[in-house]
Amino acid sequence: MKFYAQLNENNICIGISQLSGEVIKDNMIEIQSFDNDKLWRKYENKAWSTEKFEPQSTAPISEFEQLKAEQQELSDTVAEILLGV
Amino acid sequence: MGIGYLTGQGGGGSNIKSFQTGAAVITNLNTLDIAISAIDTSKSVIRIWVKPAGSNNTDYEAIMAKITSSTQINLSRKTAYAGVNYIQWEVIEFNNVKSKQSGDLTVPFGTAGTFQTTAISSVDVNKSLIFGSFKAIAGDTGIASALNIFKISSATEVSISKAGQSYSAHWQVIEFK
Repeated sequence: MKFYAQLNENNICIGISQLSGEVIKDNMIEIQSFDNDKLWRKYENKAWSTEKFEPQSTAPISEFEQLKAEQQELSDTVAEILLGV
Repeated sequence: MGIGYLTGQGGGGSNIKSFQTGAAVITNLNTLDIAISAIDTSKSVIRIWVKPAGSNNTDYEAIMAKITSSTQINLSRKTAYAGVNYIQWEVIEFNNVKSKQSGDLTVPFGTAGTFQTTAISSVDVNKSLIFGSFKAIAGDTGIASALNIFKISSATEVSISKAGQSYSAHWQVIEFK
């Protein structure tokens, strides 16, 4: 059994694998165990950073939130009409 | 709070050594350990079905399932939530296993139809199965991000589809003799 940390293009660990045999890939670094703590650490000069580079959200407002906002706006408009504001 | 229970073990077809299943309820938690009867983790996989809590938010609804030891599984999600997720889990221990490989993989934001890949030791794709689950790690884009693909894309590669937001996937490939 072999354990590997997979690096992305910035040398940040994005995966830990437990494989049945050896793989030879530039972005697969053999490690001693299934160590999830290596996730999002940077691998430089054969050492792991102390800092973690966790992915940041790029999420736009979800369709649900958008619809919710539009519904609220409509409700406000109807209320204004009914109240003659 | 969560509840898990075993509903069966043993028996099964010639290729199934043991089968355990249970229902778990997760509310106001982001992680839940469940005890199981002892299995050989090198010959076992876990799979789940999730009934969402109705939030349209993958932070709460996307559940990752892992075999964490021979006597324990873990269910986790990004964020605890007051709504109730109902999870049906199954731990299947096989006979005739040639190899089992598994891993955790961060799948970055990407457009539909693109995949994050990871290398595996060579398997016979005609005798191998893949199982997977995932949880959000970087914010929600709605339940559509919970519809993902896990596939053995070649004898030496697993591919997991990208979605509207980054997530963490747990994959398992089991190869039979």
